[in-house]
Amino acid sequence: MRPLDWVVLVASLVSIIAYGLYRSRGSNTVDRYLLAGKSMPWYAMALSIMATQASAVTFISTTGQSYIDGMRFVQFYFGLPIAMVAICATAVPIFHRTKVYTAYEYLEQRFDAKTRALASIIFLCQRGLSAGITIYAPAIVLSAILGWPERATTLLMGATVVTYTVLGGIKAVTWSDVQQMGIIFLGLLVALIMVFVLLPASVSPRDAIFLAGAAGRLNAVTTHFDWNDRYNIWSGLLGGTFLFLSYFGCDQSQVQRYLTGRSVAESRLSLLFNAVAKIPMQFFVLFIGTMVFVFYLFVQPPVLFERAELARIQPLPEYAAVKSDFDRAIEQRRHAALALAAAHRAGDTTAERRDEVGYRAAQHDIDTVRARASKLVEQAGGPAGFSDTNYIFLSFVTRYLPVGIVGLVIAVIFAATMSASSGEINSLATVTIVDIYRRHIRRGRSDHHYLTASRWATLFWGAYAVAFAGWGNRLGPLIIAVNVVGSLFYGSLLGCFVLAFAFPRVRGSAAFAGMLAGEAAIFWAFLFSHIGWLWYNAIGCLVVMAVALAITYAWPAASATAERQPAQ
Amino acid sequence: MFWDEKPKNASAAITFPGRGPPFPIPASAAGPCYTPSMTGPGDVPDDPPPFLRTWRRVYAAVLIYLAALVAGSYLFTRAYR
Repeated sequence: MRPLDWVVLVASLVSIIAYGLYRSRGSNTVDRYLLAGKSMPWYAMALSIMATQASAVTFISTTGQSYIDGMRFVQFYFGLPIAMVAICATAVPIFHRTKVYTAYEYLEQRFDAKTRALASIIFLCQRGLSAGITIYAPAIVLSAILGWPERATTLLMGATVVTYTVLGGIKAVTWSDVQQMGIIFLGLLVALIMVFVLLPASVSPRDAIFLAGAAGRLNAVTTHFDWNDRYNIWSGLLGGTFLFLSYFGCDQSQVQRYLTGRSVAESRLSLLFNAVAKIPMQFFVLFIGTMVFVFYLFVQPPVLFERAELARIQPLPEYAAVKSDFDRAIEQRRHAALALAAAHRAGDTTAERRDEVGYRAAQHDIDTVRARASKLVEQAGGPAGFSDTNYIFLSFVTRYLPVGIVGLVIAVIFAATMSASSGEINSLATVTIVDIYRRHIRRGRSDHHYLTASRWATLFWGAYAVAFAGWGNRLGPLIIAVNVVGSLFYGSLLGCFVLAFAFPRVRGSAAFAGMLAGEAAIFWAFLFSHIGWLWYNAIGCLVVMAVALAITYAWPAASATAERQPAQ
Repeated sequence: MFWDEKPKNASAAITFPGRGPPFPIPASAAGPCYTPSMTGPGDVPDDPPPFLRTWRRVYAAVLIYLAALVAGSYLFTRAYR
C-alpha cells in the first residue's frame, strides 16, 4: 500500500459514512429508524439487497474459486430468479399488507406467539454467528496480504459500520450500501481491465478466453447429477431455489431491505432487479478469476499464495523438490499455452489437439505439486486441509496492479464487508427489539423508548460482532463450518413461512411442531449423512410441511376446536 | 409462559386473493404493546408494474430470461470446452 492507495481507501470509507449519515437525517422514530418510514425507492433497495448478500468473502473467495475450479460456482445462483418471482408473488404483498417490522412478527399474526418466538430465536442464533464471521473472514485475508494486525482490521471495519448503523438506522445502511455497490462495481471493472492490460502483447483477450476454456476454467454449466456435488445445474436450480427462498423470504437481514419500500411495486422491482442482475454479476466476478488464471500462465506464480504458510514450508528439506517440480511444470505450461494459442489462431487443428494434451498435462502437474505443498503446510504444523483459494485474488492485486488501483480494490473489500455486516447488525437489532424486547420484556412504552432501545441494540450487536471477530482466531476450522451452519436453520424457517402463506388450515401448534421436526431432520442429515449442505434447506422445508400437515389432518377435530375458540 | 398467551381480539381475519377460507389472526388492537396492525388488502395498493402491464407478465419475462441465461451459459461452456 503506497500513499495514493491510502488516499483512495480513506476517501472511499469517509465518503461512504458521510453519504450514509447525510441521507439518514430525520431517522427519529422507530418506524423511520427501522423501516425508513417506508420511503425507499426501488433502486436503493435493490442495491442494498445485493450489497447485503455480497460479503467481502464473496469477492475474495469467488475469484479464487474460479482460478482453482472454474466458473461452475455460477450455477449456485440459478435458483435465485425463481425464488425472487415466488417471493414477489407471495411474501412481498403479505408483508406490506400486514405492516410488520419483521418477518417473524407476521408469524404471530398468522400462527401464535410461540412460533414467532422460535423463528426469532433461530434467526438470532444463525445470523448472530455469521455477523462476527462477516467481519473476521476478510480481516484475516487482508491482514495476511497487507501485514496489518487482524485486530486492527476488524476494529477499523467494525467501528466504521457500527458508527453509521447506530446513528442513521436502516436509511444510513441502505444509502451506504448503494455507494458501496458503486465502489464494488467500479473496482471489479477496473480489475478485469487491468488483467487484460497485463497479459503479454502476443495474447489477445480472445486467446485468453480460449486458453481458460482449454484448461476447463469456463465450465459454467455442468449437467451431471451428484448429491454430494454442490455446484451443478440440478443443485443450483433445486437446492438453490430453496436456499434463496429461505434467504430472501425468511431472513430478516433481507426482508427488512424490501420492507422499506414505498409500495408493493417498489419492493417487487427491487427483488426482480436482483433476479436479473445477480447471475451476470457472479459470472463477471468468476470471469475475473479465470482471467487471473490466464495471467499466471505467463507470469510465474508462487507455489502457495499465502505468504505466511509459504514461509513456513520454505525451510523444510522437501520444499526444494516441490519448488523445482513446480517451476518445471509452470515453464511447460507456459510453452504449451503459447503454442496452443498460436495453433488455435492458425486454425491448425492437429497441432491444437497435440498442444492441448501437453497444456492439460502441465496443468495437472501443477495441481499435483500444489497439493504436495499444501500437505507440507500441514506437516509443518499449519492448518489441516489448508487451501490458499482466498489469497489468490488479493495476492494478484497487491503484486501486479498499479498504485491507486490497489487502494480501490482494498476499498471494495472493505465496502463489501461493511455493507454485509451493517445489514446483519441492523436486522439483528430489529428482531431483538420488535420480536423480543417490545413483545416480551417491555410492553407499551413510548416510541422514543423503543428508538433508544433500537440504537442500544444496534450498538450491542455491533460490539458483539467485533468482539466475536477478535476472538475468531481461536475458532480455527470452525470459521469455515459456520457458513455451513447457517444452512442448518433456513429450511425450517422456510417451511414455516410456506405453511403460513399456502396452507390456511394449519395452526400454530402444528407449525411449531413442524419446525422442531424440520430442525431435527436437518441436524440428522448434517451429522449422519453425506448429503451436500445445499440440500438441507429443501429437506428442512419439506419435513416442516409434512409434519405440520400430518398433525393438521390427523387431528382435524383439535384443529377445528382451536379455530372455534373464542377470543381470550 | 409467553407462548401460552392468546392475543386478544383473535377473531379478526384476513383473506388472501385466490386462497381458501380466511383464518383467524390476532388484531393489533390487542394491547398497547402489540406490534402493528393487520390491515385490509385495500390499505396497500398493488400498483401495476412500470412495464409489461401485469406482474404475471413480468414474472414470466424473468423466468424466460433465466432460461436464456442457463442456455447461454451451457452454450458458452460447450464452445470453450
